[in-house]
Formats: sequence, structure tokens, C-alpha cells
Amino acid sequence: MYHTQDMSDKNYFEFFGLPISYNLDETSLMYIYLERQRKEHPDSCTGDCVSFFADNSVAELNTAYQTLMDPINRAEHYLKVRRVSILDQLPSDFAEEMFNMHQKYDSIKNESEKEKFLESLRNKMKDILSLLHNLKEDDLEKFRKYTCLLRFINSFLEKVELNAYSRD
Amino acid sequence: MLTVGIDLGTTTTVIAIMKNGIPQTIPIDSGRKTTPSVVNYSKIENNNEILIGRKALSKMDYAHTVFSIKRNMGSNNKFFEKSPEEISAEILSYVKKIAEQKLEESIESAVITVPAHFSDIQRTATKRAASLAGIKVLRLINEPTSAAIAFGLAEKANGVYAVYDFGGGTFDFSILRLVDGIFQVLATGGDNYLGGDDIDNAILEYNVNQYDIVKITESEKLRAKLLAKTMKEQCNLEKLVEKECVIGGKTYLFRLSSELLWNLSEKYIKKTFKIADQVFSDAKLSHNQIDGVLMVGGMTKMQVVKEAAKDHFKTRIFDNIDPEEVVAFGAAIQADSIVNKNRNTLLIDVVPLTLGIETFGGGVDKIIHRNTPIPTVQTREYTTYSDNQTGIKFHVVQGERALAKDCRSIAKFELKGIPPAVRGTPKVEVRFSVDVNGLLNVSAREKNTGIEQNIVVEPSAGLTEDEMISMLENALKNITQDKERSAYISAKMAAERQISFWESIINDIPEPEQKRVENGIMRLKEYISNDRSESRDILNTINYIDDIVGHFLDEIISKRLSKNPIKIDEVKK
Ligand SMILES: Nc1ncnc2c1ncn2[C@@H]1O[C@H](COP(=O)(O)OP(=O)(O)O)[C@@H](O)[C@H]1O
Repeated sequence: MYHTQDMSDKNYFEFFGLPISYNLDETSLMYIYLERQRKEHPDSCTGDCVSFFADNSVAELNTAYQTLMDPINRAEHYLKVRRVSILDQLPSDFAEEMFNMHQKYDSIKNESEKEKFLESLRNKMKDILSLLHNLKEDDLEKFRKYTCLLRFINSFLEKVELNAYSRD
Repeated sequence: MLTVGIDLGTTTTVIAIMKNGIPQTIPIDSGRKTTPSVVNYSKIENNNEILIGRKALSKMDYAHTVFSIKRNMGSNNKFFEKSPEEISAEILSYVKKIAEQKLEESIESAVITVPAHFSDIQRTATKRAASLAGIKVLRLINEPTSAAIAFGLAEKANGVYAVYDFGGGTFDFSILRLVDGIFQVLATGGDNYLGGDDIDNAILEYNVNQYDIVKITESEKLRAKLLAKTMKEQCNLEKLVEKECVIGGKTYLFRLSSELLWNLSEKYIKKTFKIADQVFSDAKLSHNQIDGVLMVGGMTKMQVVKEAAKDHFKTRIFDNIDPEEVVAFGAAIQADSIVNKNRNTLLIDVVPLTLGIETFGGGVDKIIHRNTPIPTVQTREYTTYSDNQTGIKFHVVQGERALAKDCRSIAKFELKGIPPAVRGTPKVEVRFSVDVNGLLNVSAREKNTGIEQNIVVEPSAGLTEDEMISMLENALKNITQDKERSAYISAKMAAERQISFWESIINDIPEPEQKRVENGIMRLKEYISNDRSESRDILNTINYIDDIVGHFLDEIISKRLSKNPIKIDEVKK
């Protein structure tokens, strides 16, 4: 029985032949991914290539692609590659603001105000993302902090959006 | 030896083959392209012959006829002592036999289509039906993806397209990217119990209520439902349809106007748009970012559906392809491409429903998220929660809900023979893999000893259709509640762990912080003993205490370590 190697040790930037940098061109990544699919997919592998192994290697290709295409997963992977652990708790200088986010949201009664608040969070995420893109490569401490913040706001938004969806 | 594509539909079945690079349907039933997915079992009168398709329909012996068997795929329900797989196999054997006569060559293998939202159990059941019919399944592919393949190939289209697939029993919506023969599914969603059948039922119910009909036998009902279906289809061309229907010896005039048809179907059509918009949001796209919507499935022949879709999506609508053939065409193309290892078309599909494992608290640890491209492999490590525990039970579930009991149960298994050890030390790696057919394989392995259990998920179902329907309906309604519930369970577990840790070190914390930690723990205990408290209050309190304790932790630990150094041997044991 075959077991996957621990994929978390992999460097997905190298895997796609990309420079180790948070800034990557998503369109190029997509084309690299699709071209590799065309070569490696079990449906198109011929001759010696056994479909079973093709399955596993394409599975890894899929995981790598998904990780790099998502801005937050990519940030976390970037940290891992740079051997910096991911913060699993909010840094103390943000903690208060973030925990208040829930209370603030709940205290808003008006629907359009609620939406405005969410929009401001989405914009905040965009701001943080562009900060990440512009950070110096060796400013890992800041990178780590912003990544954690992004993850936090994102899970808050996901929760609220799902709630709204299931309400009507 | 031929290979074909088969669209095994809820109401109709279509079989197609590639001829000189072009897909063609093989006419089966009196030369028609489609065969009704209907089986008649009145064996005695038919000299033990089972009737299928139009022959079964024209018999009008509704007491011995099975309709829409696809709705029961993967369940343990029986009809005339036959399982859904056996009945589906009956339909498959029939189309295979007639097609072989027409083509004068035998059919060896096929690509068979399934609704994108079919669960693992329903897929396995479909595969089994095919092997009962003597057909080797080259691949199971999702219906909307199949339609996109046929469309993409015919139109040489590149870009991002959505497929709106509204059939007799199921609704699917997928968004795909087409790049030079590669079909990459970006996101998919659907409902296995939403289709034309629902509107037929609504038409029937409306008329039955109009006349206050209380007594109606099962076979009268079936006949009336077929009548409702015909009326629905005719209403497309006529403003008012009137038909006579005999119930309990009396004749009633059933009516359907285009206005009434809209009123009765609006609810279902709106539901399809809601699902579609969730798929847009999963794909992180808005309506104006796609190049068009392909209309697939018999229901999209309805004028009201087309118009509503135009209004809703405000983008190009492609309704020029034959919605009934296109799914089988895609399957035929894919079959040909697999057999010939054709590198010009390639399909990258996704997992339609999240797969996970039930956690200790009854929640779900999501292992493969919906819309993950297949094939995929994900692993997770688990451990024991009591000392000397030698077995771990796993419960694999599928669905979007937060609690395991609300998801579809896929399989249960136990990894036994773990060497006795302190809790938390064994390392059990669970590996989920989903292959290109969308079928799941689960294995578990204890890493220190290498003990292993491998399971291939089998249709064990055990759920009745009703249960499945309510499971799906509840899924969306309860997301709010669920998320909080599972967040609460995990927060509570975290709190319990932390409390026992803090209590073990509290004496080493100096005043006044010690008092603050004590108060904090008290507050936390109140929260976790009250079922109605919120996860975020628990988490905030944990963080509050953690912050205080954190200042002393290093000191306490190094003090303790110097007192009782850990012996390496002990840890190993
Ligand atoms: N011309 C039409 N006008 C309205 N509805 C139609 C028309 N043709 C087919 N339908 C409806 O489409 C549904 C069948 O769609 P189809 O895609 O064949 O389903 P499936 O693939 O689930 O068997 C039925 O509810 C049928 O009544």
C-alpha cells in the first residue's frame, strides 16, 4: 500500500519552477499548471506510466496549485518555506480590535450598516494583501503578523456570509 | 469492441458514440434518440419479459412499473424485490443490447454520467449497476462537465462558462474554464432532489385540490403525474392546456395556463438560482465575469426557465444545443479520448461535497473540501484520547454541515492493535484519496508500528429517500446554527484542556495575577457548563487567561524541568 510523503515539507514554488516570492503571476501559474496536467494526468499518460502513480502525482499537483492560488494559503505556505511558524493566536496589538469585531458587528442593527461594516473589512483585507505584496522579503515578522490577521478576518467573513446565505 | 457514452437520466437515458470524430446518439426506442428510464415488471402477462422504455410506458400498467429509479440510487429501497442498482442495470442492458444490434458490434466499455452532486455512495451504486449490465466503466463523469465538453468541442470555445443543468430529477450548476481542450471545473453545486418531477407534482396537487379529490390510488396518481408532465411540456407552446383525468371512476378536467405554470414553478426556479449564485461565490466570480451560460437538461426547454435565466444571469445564454443529447455526447467524447489516450482533451473535475471524519465531540474534521480538483490525496494525523487505548474508530461522513450526525454517513471502520501507550503518543495517519471517478478510498495507519486498515467505500446507505431529502434541505437552513455549535464544541474542548493545565501550575503564578487567573477560570467554567453560551466568549476568556499566564510560562516550565528532568526512555515508552 502506497503512502503519500508528507507533502507539507514540499516547496510548491520550486515545484512549479517559480521564484520563492509571495508575489507571483497567477495567470502564468495557471498555464504552467494546465500544461503539467496535460502531460501528467492519468488519462493522457501512456506507455510505462502506470495510472496509479499518475493519480498520486497529479494529486500533488492539484494540492500545490490550490495552495498557491489562494492568497492566504499561499502566504502561509510562503512562511513555511521560509521556515517561520504560522501564528495561531492573534498578536496582542491586534487582539482587542479583532475580538471587538464580533461585538461591533452584532451591535449593528441596520442591514445596510452591517453591509458597510463588512465592506470595510473586505477593504481592510485588500489593504493587508497589498501590504503583503509590498513587504520586503526579509521582513518575516510583519509578514507573519499580517497573514494571521488575514486568516482571522477571512474566517469571520466566511461565517457571516454563510449565515446571510442560509437566512433567506 | 466498442466504447460508448451513456447518460443514465432520471427520466430519460441516452447512448452515444464517436464516429469520425463527431459524437452521435444511437437511436434505441422506435428510432428515437432518448429512451424513457422506465421499467415494467408484470412478468406473467409479458411471458416473463421485462419491458423497458416506451414499451413499458405504453403498457400503462402503472401498478408494476418503476419510474425515476435514479432518485433511489444508493438507498436500500426495493421495488418488486429489486434494488435500484438492479433496475438501473435493466435499463443499461437494454440500451446496450439494442445499440449492439444497430452497430453490429459488441460494446465493451462506457463512460457513464452522474449528477455532479451525487455522493460517493450514489456513484458506487451507479458503477455497480453498469457492471451488472456487463459494461466496464471507463469513467464516471459529472453531467454538467460532460455537457461542457460537448459544447466546447463543437464551438471551439475558450473562456469561462457556466452549465445550468436542470433535468427531471436533479439540478446541477458548474462553472468551468475552457483552455485549448482542457476543461477545468472551478466550482460546482446542486441538489439531487430538485427537478421537473417537482413541478409535475405541483401541477397534480393543484388540480387535485381544485376538485377536492381525497381518494386517489397509487396507480391513478402515477398516471395523473404523467398527465401533468405532458401538460407541462405542452404548455410551452399553448397558453392553456386542458386534459381529462379519470380518478375513482370520475372524469375531471385538469387545467394548466402559462400563468399558473409560472406560479407553480417559480419557487423551484428561484431555488436553482440560489444554488447557482453560491457556485459563483465559491468560484470567486461574478455574473459578468463569465462568457456565457449553457442550458442543459429537458427542463431548460421550458420558456419560463430560459427567460428567468436570462433575467438572472444577465449574460449570454447558449440554448442552441440539444439539451437532451449534449450530456451523452460529452460522455462519448470522453470515452473516446480515454481509450485513445488523446492528449487534446483533458478533464479536470472537482469533489462535489466535503469529505471528513467525525471528531470526538460529534463535529466534523473536514479533510477534503468541496471543489478540490481530483484526483486528490489528503492526510491527517490522529491520536488516542485515553491511556492504553488499542483501537480507534473512524466515521467517514460527506456533506457541508458542521455536525457529523447531519452529514451523510459514508463508512465506519476501526483501526485495531495499536500498542498500549500513554494517550496522545500513538500517531495514526488517515489518508483520504479521491480518484478521477470521484470515488473515495480511505486508509488508516499507525505510524510507529505500520498497522494498517484500508477501506474502499461501498454503498452501505441505510438511509431512506425521505431521510436523504430532509438531510439536503436542512443543510443550508442550519449552517448558522451548525457553525456556532461546532465552534462551541471545539471551544469547550479547548477550554477543558486549558483549565486542567492552568490548574496544575496556578500555584506557581505570583499574586495579584494568580487571583486574576483564578477568576478567569471560574468565568470559563461557568461558560462551559452552560450550553447556551457562545464560543467566542469562551475563546476570548481563554485568550485573556493565556495572556496573563504567558508572562510566567517560561519561568515555570524551566523551574519544573530543573526539578524533574524528563527521561528520554520514559517518553519513548
Ligand atoms: N419541451 C419541453 N418542455 C418542457 N419541459 C420539458 C420538455 N422536454 C422535456 N421536459 C422536461 O424535462 C425533464 C427531463 O429532463 P432530462 O434532462 O431528460 O432529465 P434527466 O436527465 O434527469 O432524465 C422532465 O421533467 C420533462 O418533463
